[in-house]
Amino acid sequence: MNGGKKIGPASTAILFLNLAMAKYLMVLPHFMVSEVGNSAWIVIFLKGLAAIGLFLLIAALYKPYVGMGLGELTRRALTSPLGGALNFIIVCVMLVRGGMLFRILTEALQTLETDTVTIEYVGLFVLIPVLICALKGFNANVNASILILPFTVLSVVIISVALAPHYEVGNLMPIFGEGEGKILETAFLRFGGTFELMYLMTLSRSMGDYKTFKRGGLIGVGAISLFSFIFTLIYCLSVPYPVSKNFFFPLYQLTRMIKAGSFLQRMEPTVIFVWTGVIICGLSTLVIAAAELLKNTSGTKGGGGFVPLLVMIIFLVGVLPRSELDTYGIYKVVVNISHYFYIGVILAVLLTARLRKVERGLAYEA
Amino acid sequence: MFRVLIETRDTEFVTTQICAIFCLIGIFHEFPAHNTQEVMRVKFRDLFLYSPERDEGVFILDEPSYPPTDYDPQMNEGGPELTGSYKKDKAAFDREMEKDLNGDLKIREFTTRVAGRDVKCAAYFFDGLVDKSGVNDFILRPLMLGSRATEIRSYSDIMNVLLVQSEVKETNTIGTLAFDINFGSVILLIEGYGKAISVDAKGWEHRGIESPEVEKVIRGPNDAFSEQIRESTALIRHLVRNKSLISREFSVGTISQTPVSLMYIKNVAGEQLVREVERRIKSIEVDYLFSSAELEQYLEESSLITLPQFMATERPDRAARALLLGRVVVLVDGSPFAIVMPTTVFELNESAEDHYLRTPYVNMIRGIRFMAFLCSLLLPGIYVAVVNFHGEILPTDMLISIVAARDKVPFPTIVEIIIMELSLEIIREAGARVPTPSGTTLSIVGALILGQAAVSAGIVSPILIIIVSIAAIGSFATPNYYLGISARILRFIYIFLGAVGGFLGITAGAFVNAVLWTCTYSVGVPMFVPVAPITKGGVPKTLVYPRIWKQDYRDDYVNPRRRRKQQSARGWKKDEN
Repeated sequence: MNGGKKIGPASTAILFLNLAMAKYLMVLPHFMVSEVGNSAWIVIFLKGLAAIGLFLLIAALYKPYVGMGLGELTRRALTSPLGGALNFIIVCVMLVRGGMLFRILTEALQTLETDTVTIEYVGLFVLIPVLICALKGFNANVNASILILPFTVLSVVIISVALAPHYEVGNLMPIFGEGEGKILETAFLRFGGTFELMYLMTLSRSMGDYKTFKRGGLIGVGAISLFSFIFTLIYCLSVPYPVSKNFFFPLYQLTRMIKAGSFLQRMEPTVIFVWTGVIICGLSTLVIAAAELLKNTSGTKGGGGFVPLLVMIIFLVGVLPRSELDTYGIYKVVVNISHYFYIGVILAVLLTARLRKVERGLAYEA
Repeated sequence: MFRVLIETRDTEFVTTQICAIFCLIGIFHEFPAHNTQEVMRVKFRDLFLYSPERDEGVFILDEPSYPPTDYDPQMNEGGPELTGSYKKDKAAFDREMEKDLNGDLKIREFTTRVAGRDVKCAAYFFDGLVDKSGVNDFILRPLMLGSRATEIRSYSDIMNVLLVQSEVKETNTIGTLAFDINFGSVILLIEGYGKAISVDAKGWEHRGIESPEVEKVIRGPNDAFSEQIRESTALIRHLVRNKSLISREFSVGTISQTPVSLMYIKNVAGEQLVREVERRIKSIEVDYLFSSAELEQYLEESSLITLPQFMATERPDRAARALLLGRVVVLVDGSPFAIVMPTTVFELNESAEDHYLRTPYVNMIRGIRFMAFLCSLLLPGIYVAVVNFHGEILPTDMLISIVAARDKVPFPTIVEIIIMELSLEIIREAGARVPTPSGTTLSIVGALILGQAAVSAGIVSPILIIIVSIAAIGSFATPNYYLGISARILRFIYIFLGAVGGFLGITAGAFVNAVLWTCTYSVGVPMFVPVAPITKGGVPKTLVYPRIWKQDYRDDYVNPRRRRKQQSARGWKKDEN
């Protein structure tokens, strides 16, 4: 699955960034604004700081086990049956989350394409590349992320610049939105970046040593914190509250506001390139990580065999909700629960491994 | 008949009719008694149940019987030894060289004088492969006349005193003699000697060193490789005057015995790279090899990916530069192109001129080339996507004019664009096949008159002509010919994806393309390095061409033995300070 080659800190950071961007570009600013009002940008900033602290704590706990992979560590720390069951649950949560993300994307794309096509049809254009990328393995996924990231960042920069005439400082007022308490609660009690961190830990077998993991992760967390802070700030500056609460796809809505003269009359179809690229990358990583966990649980040699099955499950989970609103509801619940679930699992596994003095695995030595 | 076929629901009738059509067009004319329905059934079954035993196809009923052959793959190696008897050896060599069948085999029999007595001699050579005046003046004249004027005491004096050629060797195996004669040697059989003498007298007619045809430059040197491997290696040696420049010789092709030269600089190229290329060349077991393009296909890792995995160059300066940057260069006799390996996709976008231009010019030109490549690859697909799905992206006036232009066109956009693309490909192919003056006329007639006529006839819209033309010009602006072809092939896929999925289809295609291309390797080096995967300091250097005096290091991904390539490129600047 990983092609046997290790990736460096820059690639690790880019992988982290791409994973997080799938979420940030799609829904996060909308979620934050609907939770804490127009102080969402402050929450994102604080969440970024909290995520850096959390990452450093987990990296320190994970230090002896970097290169082992979360799936293997779980099995070793919690014994085979319990660890295997936990891995299976993690995979299920991943798939539900992936399925919802897939559905949200396909709904957005359907809006942008044409109403005559079904979400299943749109979904094929997303899942076939995911399948190919996941089958090609981890390195292919990382390389694709590296190629996509500059376009994503460039498009967000262009959107930010093009939206400058719409910036209104008054849109940020009152500056603390729903109140300081709400800000602190959302920022510090709902951990950010745990989802991405779990992926990094699952795939750490392909990341060389601790230094790579720590540097790559730290750069990734820092960059995504900065990126999401800027993006949310632009969103809050451009769209007045509570109108911003009603927009489901922030990037799409922001692009709609751009007036690019007479040439590109409506720029929103161009976000398809960014959205689709980032989410295909994110879903591919999800599938690869899930396959890696299943591989560790089942004890098979390679995880490639699980890939088509996992892609199919994501598709089926994605088409289950009856409407877009249902999807949002489920996704919101899954995200809110999975924060605690992921952090709980990570801490429990790492602390147990430390207490039981689990030794480094063969994967690390290899 | 086709209408009847389409409208009928009787499957047996349809099958019979299809088979009848096949019979009519002559596919089964060799098997008149065969049950055609059975053949069709088996044929369709075979499409799904492929079996190597059946890979001749169902239409070949009997195994073709070939006449027995005495073909021996080892025919050019070893063979029987000379007996020492002039008569027997001559008869054996005559047989080996198929004297009665080969019209261009020349045998000159004469006598020479050794140790005071006349001995019989026979000189064998292929007409056209040797320099005849050289044979007359430096082989036959010394043996026939010189031996009488000078005292030749023993057989060894023939080699030491009479034959003044630079490459003379004695051998006693017939296979080796046959090998040498095919490479332009004159074989001398001498009575009583017991061995034969092989004298190098190569002198076939060939093209001289000419200007490059494909990689023309304004400021750089203007010589190109020729079909003669020795001339090509000499051109490189002329540029890299260093004892570390190694030229390893191989022979590829069991029958053709084509000389292949692997060149590298011993103190610069990575050992592993040289070993790997050597291993791959040695592993090729084929009957013949004529061109570096064929060799390239034997050496590449992914044959079905459209991306070329090596760089072919006809310029000695480009090959020499690659050697100095830690690459290896492979030359094939009979091919005026050298293969540079490993290479990356970014190097494929470089032209030979880039290194002779100043930094700002290179950066601008590279940017334009990249845009041209993207246009060539994606523009028709994006056009189809915009017209079919994303019309709102265009200004209303422009959209109206596009719709108005398409008003008289009876086809959907995809059909319209495929007609144009296919026409263009046909014109391009026809232009490449006909003689140069007619080729130019054909291109002009094809591009201008047919295009104009197609618009007037309402078959295609004017805007489409512009789109297709830009895409075609974009593929010409791509410096690497194979990369240009790659874009031409993929363009059809993007047109299809744009038609069925709009921008989403194009993005999905581009993603799969990116995944497949980044998983492609050139002798173990990823094609997208140093960007994907990232190497230290590689990304800025790839995005912006650095100033020549800042290019201090060789690329680390080729693992050169000597990383630094310049110590103080502008020492005078330091002196001024």
